[in-house]
Amino acid sequence: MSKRKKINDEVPFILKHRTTGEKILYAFVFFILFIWALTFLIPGVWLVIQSLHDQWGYYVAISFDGPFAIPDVLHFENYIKTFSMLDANGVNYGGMLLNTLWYMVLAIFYCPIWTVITSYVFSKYKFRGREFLYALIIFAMVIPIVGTGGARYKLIADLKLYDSGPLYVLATGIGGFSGSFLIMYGIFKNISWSYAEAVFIDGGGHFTAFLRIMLPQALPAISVLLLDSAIDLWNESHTFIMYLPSTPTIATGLYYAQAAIKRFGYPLYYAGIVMSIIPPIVVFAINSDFMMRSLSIGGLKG
Amino acid sequence: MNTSFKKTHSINYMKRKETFFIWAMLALPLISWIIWYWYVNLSSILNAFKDVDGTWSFINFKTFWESLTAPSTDLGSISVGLKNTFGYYLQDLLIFIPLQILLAYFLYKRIPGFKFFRVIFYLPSIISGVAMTSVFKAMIATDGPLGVILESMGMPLEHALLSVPSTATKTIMAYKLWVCLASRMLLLGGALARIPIEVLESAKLDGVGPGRELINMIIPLISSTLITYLILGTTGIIGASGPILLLAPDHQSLGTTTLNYWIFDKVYAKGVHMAGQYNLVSATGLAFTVVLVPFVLTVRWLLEKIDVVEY
Repeated sequence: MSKRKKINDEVPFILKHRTTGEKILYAFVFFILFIWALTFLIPGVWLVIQSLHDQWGYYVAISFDGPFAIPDVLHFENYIKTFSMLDANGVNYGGMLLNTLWYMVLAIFYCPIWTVITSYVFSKYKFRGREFLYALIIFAMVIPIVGTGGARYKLIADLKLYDSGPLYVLATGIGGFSGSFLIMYGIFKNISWSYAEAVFIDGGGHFTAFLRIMLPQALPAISVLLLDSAIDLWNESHTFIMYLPSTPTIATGLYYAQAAIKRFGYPLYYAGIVMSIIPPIVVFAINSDFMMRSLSIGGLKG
Repeated sequence: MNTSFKKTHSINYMKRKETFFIWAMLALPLISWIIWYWYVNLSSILNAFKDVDGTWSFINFKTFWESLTAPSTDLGSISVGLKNTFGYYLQDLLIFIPLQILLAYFLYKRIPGFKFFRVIFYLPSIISGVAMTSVFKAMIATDGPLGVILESMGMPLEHALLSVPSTATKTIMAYKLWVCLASRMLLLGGALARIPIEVLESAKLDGVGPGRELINMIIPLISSTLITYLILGTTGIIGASGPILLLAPDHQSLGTTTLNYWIFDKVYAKGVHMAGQYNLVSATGLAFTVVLVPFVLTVRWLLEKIDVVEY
């Protein structure tokens, strides 16, 4: 059965039938949304065009030929030059890419695991102090304490974690009680405990039950959160601007590079932006259905 | 008796193993939480009452009050930040949430091209803010596409929109409006996907149109998700802001600051390490927390009184 037919079969006939009024309304909404969508697509095309100019051609185009003037010669070599010429805080684009990658790998495989662990324990075990701790977690989420950035900054400096690269992530990345705690808590709450009991009867322990039985069952929902956080991590700039200025990632590097844009020219800068947005778009394009369906099915329940 | 002893012993042994497992799993996250949440919060409260040398003092609250009551001509003051913060909060509450619900509804109803729109409008969520704002700035520049279009219509831009106080904050708000459809799309879509299709089927058979369907059925059915947004929005009211650092960071002359950005600016201190006004930030945060907590709890209490449809 084709994918389109399968989707159509999921919707009852009565809901597919549209009155004339509905058809007019939907056509109107389609028109509005299409115009809105164009405001994303046109800048995308503009961005690619600008990245293919040479520096002189860029100024000629914006001064005389208009913002959408296509260069006579397409300078694809800009994309190569960007790696060596576009730099920020002494790190070139290649270095920024490496910084982004180590940060992503570390943050994806190290940081979320703590939330998985805490949410699992809180959702499946009753222990002394649980109710008190759970109330504290909710209190911390609900009560908006603001202005702690100064105290945090001082603590990071006191602990010699400022500008310490991966050490900063290792020390501050042990979370467990952030916003996704409740989502993960709901996911584990929905998994039957009888699977774990079967493991205990077979002589397995709590670690076995967690690693071999419960974790794999929660994996689809966890994967969605990981994919989502991978995209966020790729785009992360605040942490690096604030605490890790010597190891700029691509997003941070592009931010710093704005101040020195005339040194290497707009086309290289725009080539850098194009390259920065390709990976998240590819990841999303491949996984969009999975992300949207998984979160709607598993993540929000409970 | 022997069997009973074994049983007791076995249960105790299993209980000990379980306790070991629980605390082995929770030890590091709890230690980290104590340091990065509780210690930071406590030291922030104490720092609010200390001057730069560490002597106990109310100087930070005095400075905070002066900035809060400064004339509106002082564009970098907390009072301007407070006004802008409420502007961003109301924009989210009154414009973004209704727009996002409408979009989620029409995508759920599978309007033509719904898959295409779903991907396009989600793009700002997956593209870095640095990239999005760079392109936006270029688009609205006097020599950019917007400038060229307005010039051809006989209304040339006299100055860059982000370069003068009268238009800078409005332009940041326009940017937020442009990209607003992306946020909450996944979760609102998820809430809609859980609505039993039979409910909509029977409404359709009764001749219910899209307007009534949305207002009388869909919104009540996703009310728990909407209430969560309202609670989170109110909790994060002080954080309501825009990408000021990326679009118009010179808030002292542009009046673009928000409370969130004001705090960031005082801590960041233009990137000079340990040059921030950390204690002033703590005092400001403490003052707003004291005012905000009763407000948030009241809103939360009122919202929780609303009957949520269970299905």
